[in-house]
Amino acid sequence: MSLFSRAARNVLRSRVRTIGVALALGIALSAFLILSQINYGVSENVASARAAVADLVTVQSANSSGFDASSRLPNDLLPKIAEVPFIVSVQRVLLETPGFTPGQGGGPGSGGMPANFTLYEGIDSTSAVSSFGGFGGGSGLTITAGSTLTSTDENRSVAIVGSTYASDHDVIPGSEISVNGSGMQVVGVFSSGSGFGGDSVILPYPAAAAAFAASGPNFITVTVSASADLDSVVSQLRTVLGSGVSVTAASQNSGGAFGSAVDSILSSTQFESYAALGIGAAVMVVVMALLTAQRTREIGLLKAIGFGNGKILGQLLTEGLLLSAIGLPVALVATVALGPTVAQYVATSSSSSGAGPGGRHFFGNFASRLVGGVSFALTPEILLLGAAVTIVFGFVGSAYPIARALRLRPAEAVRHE
Amino acid sequence: MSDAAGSVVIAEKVYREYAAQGDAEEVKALRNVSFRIPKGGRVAIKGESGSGKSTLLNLLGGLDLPSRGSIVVNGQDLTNLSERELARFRATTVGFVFQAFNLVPTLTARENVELPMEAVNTGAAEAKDRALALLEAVGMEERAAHRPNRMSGGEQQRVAIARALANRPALVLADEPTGNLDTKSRRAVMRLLTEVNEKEGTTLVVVTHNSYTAGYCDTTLRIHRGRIIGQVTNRRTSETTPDPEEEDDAAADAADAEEESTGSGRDERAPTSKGPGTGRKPTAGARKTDDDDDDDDDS
Ligand SMILES: Nc1ncnc2c1ncn2[C@@H]1O[C@H](COP(=O)(O)OP(=O)(O)OP(=O)(O)O)[C@@H](O)[C@H]1O
Ligand SMILES: [Mg+2]
Repeated sequence: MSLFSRAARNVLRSRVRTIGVALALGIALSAFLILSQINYGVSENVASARAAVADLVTVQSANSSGFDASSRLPNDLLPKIAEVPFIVSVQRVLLETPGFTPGQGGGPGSGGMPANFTLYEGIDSTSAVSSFGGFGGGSGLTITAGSTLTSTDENRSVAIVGSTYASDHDVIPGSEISVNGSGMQVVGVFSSGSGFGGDSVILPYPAAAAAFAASGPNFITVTVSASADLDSVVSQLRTVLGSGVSVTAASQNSGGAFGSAVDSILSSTQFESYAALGIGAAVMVVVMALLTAQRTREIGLLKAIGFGNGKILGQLLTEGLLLSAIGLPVALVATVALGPTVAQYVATSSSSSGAGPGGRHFFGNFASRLVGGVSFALTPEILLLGAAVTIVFGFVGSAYPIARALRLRPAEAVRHE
Repeated sequence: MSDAAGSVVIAEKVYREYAAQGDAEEVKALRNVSFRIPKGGRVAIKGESGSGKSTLLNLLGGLDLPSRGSIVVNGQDLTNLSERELARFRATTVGFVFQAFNLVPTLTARENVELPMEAVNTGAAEAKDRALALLEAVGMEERAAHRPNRMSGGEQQRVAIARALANRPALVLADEPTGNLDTKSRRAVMRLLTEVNEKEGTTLVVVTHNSYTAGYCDTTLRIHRGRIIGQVTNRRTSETTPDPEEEDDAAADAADAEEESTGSGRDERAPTSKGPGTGRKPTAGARKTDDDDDDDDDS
């Protein structure tokens, strides 16, 4: 009769308890796995988004959110920027969000925000479409119908629209839309992954500037020849452009408004994952304490017939590890099955608390895009993490019974009542 | 009087005090207890409830350590052993049989008997063979795969005896092994314990309230409020001895009375002077005599 099978028999003695422990531990452990996977995935997504804009510098009006007409830059900055060396390209971005009034009702994103609004974006170079004005990074946009904007469209009144906009307004390629009263012909419809900017219209910069009678762009995005030159370009631009204009590396720029959504996701998932760990550990401690409490005499008897402390310790530790291992399969199944749902929930709840221009509609989608890409497959990392936590749970659960058993005097334990 | 070399147990000026706890005062469970038990001896420890019998037996078995004094068993001074050495001592030198809760309830009879062998890392196959042989010896071979909850009290005690013998101990210690049993089972259990003593020369110490049980032993150590108040040589109980509980409680009292009259005195700390085989004479009859000894059978 091996120590292992004896331990297994003790742990599995009651079917009801076994099922209860499997569920409680499984849920706590899977909550931990899901939340840490979200945390890890979001950090990764943010890091890759930042890497994608590692050679970009954003120029915008100081003290502004950059999202409204009052944040426009003067038009005469372009020649000044052109003087700075190591710059490969310069791209103006005009943003217009009719119906969105910053600074009212407690600030953007909090109150007084229309449930729906359309973001109009005028850009210089159609190649930048994919980077969506330098935000979000990566290749967010895919043309799903028609074609994208090309360099020949630069001086035409054309547009591509997001899929949300297209379905809301019954628009297909070839349709004519009105942008602030100016007619634009839709040449394509794009999808933006999980919906970030789905309700938006992208136009060539001149057409957008004319339609909104804009004095200048909201942003100027400068591409540097190599990311090694970034710092020097930033400092030279600051000198050339003077105060009133803020110059930041785009990878840092995504801190501000976007960062708050990211921070909110990261900090809440981290806190909640630790809470899940604590709950799992508490389940272990309680169940192991119950499991060994009625067995004080049995353990004393083992000592009385010659089991040394080492053997008793080995048995209780084996029991703790077996008990905690009961939860692992449940946890892994629950992680794969429930991960995406939990991720979506986290995205929604973090975007309602994470304020920022565009509020829930705009940044909610941003958050779900960050979280949406997180995978919950049974990767070696998840298996390892699950196994590691299981082992830690096993140790935590057996610590108290072991401490008790070591102090137990066999003469006390075998004393009959 | 046997010399130190011939003694399996040598207790010298043993004290055991339980420290005061809260309102509870200090308990002097054993006071200045000295005695010897020769190899192969059969000794009963008798005394009223709370007199210190279990305390003494636990000290002999290394389950507990004296507050003062020394206990040497099989040449080992228990007060000098480390925790680990004590565990090994318990596994190899002594075999314990308790009154209650002897067996691990989740394990079968065979697995229970294997436990002490596992404690000293005996190989699984060897342990299994020996366990089955021991179960056969106690007449429990057919119950090898049964758990304790499917056995009677007497059957459980037989399994416990098999377990106590697993590592061929020099000393078998039994704390009221028949306390919960009926007459028939009591007889079977005592017969088993004495058989081992006779065949294997294993020294046997039995704590009991019961004169009938004590009658299986050569010598009775009487203990009163933590002191040894006397030592008597018994006429052994035989198969024809009427069980006091079954027949007539007076028989037991009578047996006790005879012990007193033939007894070797009541001097404290008197070492046992007789080996096995002394005073073997069937108890004849039942003679009711007054007895100051607390001898109720089931208290
Ligand atoms: N752990 C302990 N703490 C305090 N007192 C104790 C402890 N163990 C035993 N005692 C006391 O020591 C004395 C001797 O107890 P012991 O169990 O040896 O008696 P006993 O002769 O075996 O009695 P019984 O026939 O009822 O089993 C008793 O007064 C008992 O209350
Ligand atoms: Mg007792």
